[in-house]
Amino acid sequence: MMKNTRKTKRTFKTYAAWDYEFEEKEYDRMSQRGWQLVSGSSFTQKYEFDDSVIYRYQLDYNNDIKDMERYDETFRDAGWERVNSTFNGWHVFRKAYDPQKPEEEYEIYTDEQSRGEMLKRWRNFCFGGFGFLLLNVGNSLRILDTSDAGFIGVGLLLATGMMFGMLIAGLLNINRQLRGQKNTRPYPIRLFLFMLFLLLVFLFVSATIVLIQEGSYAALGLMVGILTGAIIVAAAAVFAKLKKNNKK
Amino acid sequence: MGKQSEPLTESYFYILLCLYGGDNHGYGIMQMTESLSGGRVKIGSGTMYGATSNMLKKGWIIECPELGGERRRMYRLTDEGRRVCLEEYRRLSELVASAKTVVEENA
Repeated sequence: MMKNTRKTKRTFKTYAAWDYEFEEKEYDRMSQRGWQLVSGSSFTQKYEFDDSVIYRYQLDYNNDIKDMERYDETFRDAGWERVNSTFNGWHVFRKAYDPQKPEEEYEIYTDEQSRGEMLKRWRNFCFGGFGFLLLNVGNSLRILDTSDAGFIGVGLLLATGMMFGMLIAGLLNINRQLRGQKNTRPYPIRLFLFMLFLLLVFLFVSATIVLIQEGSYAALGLMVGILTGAIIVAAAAVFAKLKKNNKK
Repeated sequence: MGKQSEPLTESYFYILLCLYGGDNHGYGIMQMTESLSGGRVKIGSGTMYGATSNMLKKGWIIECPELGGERRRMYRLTDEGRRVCLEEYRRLSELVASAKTVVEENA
């Protein structure tokens, strides 16, 4: 494949996972303008230019696929091609658009029950987030209790609270969708992540300063260790994603 | 559990129905459903995968090896699946009979 001769572009649109329909519509719009999705996710998207075809997109959430071949075959049968899958179980499908065909041709869920099952799978995945956040609350309280820099504990609690808020917003949204209500406005996930990021950077920097002032080099080492660990994990995730895309 | 006595969705019923006369693959089931229902019922791929996964789990259908030139995987109705399909058929027939009685009485 002469990949380098092709025009590609990357976008950084962010979507809350329960707003997946907005993501689908964005891929449809891009395809109409000739930008065909190569790899999609709710954080970053890669496109390739080809205006000879228009695709329609659908996202499926399924983290419990026992037989990937059977899964792909079922979709292929109806003309769907899997573009890519994300690490947490989202699958992006596309089908060449033919204006002669009825709209139902471009929907992978044709009854409320099965669409509900998909939403419930995602909801169950979200419940896992609560466990993690509870752990975080425990940690924050301990820091609040033992550290001279109590504000760090307060800040951590605040960050945890924000994430709780987002999780609850997501669960409420899924429940609304399960009752058959349409999603009208996307969640302001970018603003949310930005605020969370600012809070975490502030916490990290101030915690580092406090530790230097207190002269606790062991604790400073721990902070550096955590940061390095985070970078390694992020790098591994990016690398895994690149490898996955190349395999296609 | 009482699961079997719950009404089936249209997609579920049509899938069972499409396998009643013999093995079929996913594509065949989608086509047959559309033609049987005069184009009213369509089974999307997500719905199809979810339904067949549940049915495999419940033991209503099994996957069976391809025969001849067919490269697609085929599904086969089990005795249990056949029973569920017939039970639903009886339930639906009863509904139609009841409706008929009432509607004709009040015509």
